[in-house]
Amino acid sequence: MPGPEESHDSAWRRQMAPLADEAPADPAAEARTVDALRLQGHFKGKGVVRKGFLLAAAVILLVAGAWLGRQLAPEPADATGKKFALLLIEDSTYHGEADVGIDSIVSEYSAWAGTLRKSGQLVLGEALSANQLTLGPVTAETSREANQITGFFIITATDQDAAIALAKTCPHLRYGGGIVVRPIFETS
Amino acid sequence: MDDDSDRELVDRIITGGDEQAFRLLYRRHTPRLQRLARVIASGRGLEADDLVQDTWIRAVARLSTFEWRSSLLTWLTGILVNRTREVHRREMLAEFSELTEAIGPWPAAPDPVDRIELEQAIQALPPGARTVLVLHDVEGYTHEEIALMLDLSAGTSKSQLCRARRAAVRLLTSESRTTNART
Repeated sequence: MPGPEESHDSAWRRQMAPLADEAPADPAAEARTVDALRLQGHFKGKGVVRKGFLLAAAVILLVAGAWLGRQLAPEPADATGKKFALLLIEDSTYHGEADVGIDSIVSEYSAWAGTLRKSGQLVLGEALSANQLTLGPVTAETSREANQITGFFIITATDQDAAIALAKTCPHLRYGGGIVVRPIFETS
Repeated sequence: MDDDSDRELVDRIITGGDEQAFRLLYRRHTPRLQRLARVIASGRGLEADDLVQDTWIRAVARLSTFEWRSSLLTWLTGILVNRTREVHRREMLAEFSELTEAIGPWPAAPDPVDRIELEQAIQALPPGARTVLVLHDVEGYTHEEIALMLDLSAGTSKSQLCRARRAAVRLLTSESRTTNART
């Protein structure tokens, strides 16, 4: 004889039954998921990304934890400074979106970039889509790691120490992301 | 290959990067995940399709760490539910922190209602209550399984379920009064 709790459970489950309908998996959704996983190198053989394939913006946000950067019209950068690339990388340690939400992330990053722009140190800043096609004989692991670069800034600074000091003020580090600082070779 | 167990298919994905094995798993489990996502995502910053896709992508990245202490579907459900928690984290923390483990009388199941009314009532519940109600009364998980997924005690899961059912009954009763008044 079922107890009162079990009787309630059975009755509730019967009443909730209309919600238990299932529909077969949508082939288009399956294809998008497979494409995303293929881009990340999880399947053998590098498949060609379908022309015009784009991950929905919401999926980019969810999957890469990417922030929506707006392309900032840069002020003229300091002509005497050296150029450096700040590559923003994210792996499982990144928790920005989960902590404060995407709107706050966008505001913080934009405000930081705005400060650089006002000081004449911002050359360019962009967010990168997770939609990636890797060409060439590099390994799947290399391709996967490249997909962890979610954005970049090109800045000017007097030297590498100054560039590093600037990078350390970027909100990306506070949320568990990483920043790769690399000098840009001057070719002119 | 269609009859291969989840374990065999997972092994093929991990060791051989077998895309076809993944597709079989996807087709086997996505209907249940989609059903759950549709109800608990509620469109607030999350769409069900995106939630399911995100779940699969996270799962494949972690497949080699899955120790088969539960079924694969239970594990996938945990990933999906926890993604929802990340988005609704503050609301759900507030909900769970208000609960004690005292339950009170279990509310009786409501009279039969149509699917749309049921979905609307459940969508109106707070996210934590909605999640526990759906996991228990629609998906059939035990309180112990729900506790593991949501990092609660089984007692808190019961309290949350009791509260969710009471709220659902109130919502369904007031909706049914409104419907009757219109007819």
